[in-house]
Amino acid sequence: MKNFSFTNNRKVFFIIAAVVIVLGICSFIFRGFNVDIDFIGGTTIQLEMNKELSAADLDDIKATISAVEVGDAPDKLYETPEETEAVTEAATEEATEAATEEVAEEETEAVTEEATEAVTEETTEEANKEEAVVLPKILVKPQVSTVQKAGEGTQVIIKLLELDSETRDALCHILAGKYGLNLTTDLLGVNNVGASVSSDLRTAAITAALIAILLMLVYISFRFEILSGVTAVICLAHDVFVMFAAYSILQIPLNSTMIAAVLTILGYSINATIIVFDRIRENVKLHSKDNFDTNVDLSIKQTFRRSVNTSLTTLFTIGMVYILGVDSIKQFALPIIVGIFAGFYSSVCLSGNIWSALKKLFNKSRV
Amino acid sequence: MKKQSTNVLAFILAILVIAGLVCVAIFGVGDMPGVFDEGGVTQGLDLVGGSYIVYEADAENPSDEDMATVRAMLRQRLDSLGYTEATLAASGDNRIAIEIPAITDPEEAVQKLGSTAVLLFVDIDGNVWLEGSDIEKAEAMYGDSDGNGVSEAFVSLKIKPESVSKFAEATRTISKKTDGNNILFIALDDEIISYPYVNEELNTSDVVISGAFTTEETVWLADLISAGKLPFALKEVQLESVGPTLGEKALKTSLIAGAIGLALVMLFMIIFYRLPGIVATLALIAYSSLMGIILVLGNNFINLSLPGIAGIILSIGMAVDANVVIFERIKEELRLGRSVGAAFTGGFKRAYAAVIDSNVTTLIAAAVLWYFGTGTVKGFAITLFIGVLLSLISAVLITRFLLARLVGMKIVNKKYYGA
Repeated sequence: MKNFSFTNNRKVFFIIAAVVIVLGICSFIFRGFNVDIDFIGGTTIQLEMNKELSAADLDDIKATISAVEVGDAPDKLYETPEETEAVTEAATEEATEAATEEVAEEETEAVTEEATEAVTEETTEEANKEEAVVLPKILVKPQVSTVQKAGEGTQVIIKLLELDSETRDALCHILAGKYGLNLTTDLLGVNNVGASVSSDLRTAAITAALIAILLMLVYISFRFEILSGVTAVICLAHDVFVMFAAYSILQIPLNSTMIAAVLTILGYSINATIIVFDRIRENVKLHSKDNFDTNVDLSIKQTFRRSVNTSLTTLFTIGMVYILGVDSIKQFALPIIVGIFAGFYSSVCLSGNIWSALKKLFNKSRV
Repeated sequence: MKKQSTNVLAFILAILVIAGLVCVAIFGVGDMPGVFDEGGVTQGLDLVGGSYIVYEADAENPSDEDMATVRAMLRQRLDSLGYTEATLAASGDNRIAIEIPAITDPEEAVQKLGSTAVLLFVDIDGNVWLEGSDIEKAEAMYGDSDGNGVSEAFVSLKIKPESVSKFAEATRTISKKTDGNNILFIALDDEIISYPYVNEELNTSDVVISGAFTTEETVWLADLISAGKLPFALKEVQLESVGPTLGEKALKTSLIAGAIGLALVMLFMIIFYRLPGIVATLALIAYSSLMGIILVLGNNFINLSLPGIAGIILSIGMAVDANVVIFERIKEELRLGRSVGAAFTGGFKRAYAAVIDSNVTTLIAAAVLWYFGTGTVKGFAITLFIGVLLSLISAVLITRFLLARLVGMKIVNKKYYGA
């Protein structure tokens, strides 16, 4: 560490960064992104299948859904019947009670009785209607895009083009019938995002990110000089790029939590860069006779322990979240972990070097 | 010597205060429940299970009044379906977002809540006389409607011109019934919302429903009658539904992850920084308790969701950063041969700029996300913002205070400070 020079190995660091960026671009082109329904609209259904799933099982589920046609309906509703009944009864009772109370306020007793009867009749009718269950029907032919394993390998997430409520309901019941599921406990989640909402979410996400970045940059330029601001932007761009490369290479679903993850890393990485710049600022004042590179190297070394320790402690917490978390949280934690490594690399190996390189580039004419 | 004992006393007092915070956070105090108690922290739908449904008005530019009518109708439906804990909020100009905790059949709710309202005018024998489409307008009003000189709240009903004859026939038939049976039931979605008496034939388009109403009651009734003649349907544009099984698991694993992560961080700090590490651990305990207390006190507007927990856990990692920066500086000063006291003062002084700069940038990001974000992103931003603020307090103020007392107690062996 003592003999290693961060500034003399500048080219090596730049080349490593360039290689990662080229790899990322290749992945963007050839693998693309796993864009979630938040941004393009669609429906996802998450089911607990109660057994270890093989690739053949997933294909089977996909085939089952593809075979569903408009007008299909499940044989029956796959829920715990007692519960449904209980709810209906309770609702009926409540409704009757409420109606009775309301009418009971009336003065004429005869009317009260008659009216109560009429109302009771009405509610009983309603209850009867509910008991003679109307099975949901497939109204639109479901179009599956992917069927993926989730959880500990016993769950499945089915991604489809947007479906209406009744079709979703019918589809879930059809799947429950085929695979012996109890929807009350095995239907883990249903998500549906319409086209208008997804475009709004996209706009809101991009607006928030741009405003946050702009404000952070204004703050940095105000606290440091303009070249360091430019350097910070380059480092941030590097970190975000690496995160997106991770999204593409690992096919992590790209949804609205991505914005939160990216902004977390932007804030985190800017912290790290500021700590290094703060040192450089201080060392340039203290050792003004030394050249800039020497001061940069010294500053990186002085802050190295802090950079390592902070990354470690943050990794402890977010790492535990990744290890123990449920899928949606894993998908949020993984890019953050990648971003912490990228942020560490850019603040330690790139920031000082880029600042120094920019300084040489722009001051050449003057020297 | 005297000064030394004051420092010991202050240090012990500070530890007692922190212990007190922990107790308040866990067990609550007075009316305030603890974090683990019922009614303590409001948990997001992803933790307790439930559905988030967004409806959009299927019309170009629905008026604010129409949207208010829709909200009143949805509230009524939520209550009659038994979802009394559901919350309802306007979202943009033409959307309404509903959150229903602990619901077993989300699709049923989506369909029932979003169905077109059916408004019927029925007599006591069950004959349907008019429907929602026969009504032009229903308004809550206040004034002297019957000319008896007493002002009261009433609902003004305007019947469409082409339906006046139907209404006249209805009132003629009903008014001829025996006293007490001359009732016109107004029912929305099979539920009676009003049952005025009819005493005479009303051959007019302007009708008044009156009878010892409060203003709220007339607004409620007018809204529900208006719902029956809404010019547009509701379209479900978003559904996020989490089953109770997944929610429960998510909460448990996140809490365990948080606890283990926190323990690892504390262990690391103590091993690496020794005495200051212990102080940092105390500050972290204070931080966690304060976070819990804020979550309980603010449970009306802070909804703890999964991303929210991630925000807290992340801010713990960042809280430690400030301490790391400060302690590294103190170590450096010690290595330069300064005394513990001088290293402490110098270390804090030099670290401040970096700590403030780095935390402000994160606060900026969190604030923007809080303001512009929706759903999950907002939940994350709120806890991150509070977390970073608290971490500044705990890392800078509490750590500084405790370390200053240790130095004041003449615990100045450099070994204890990791040098």
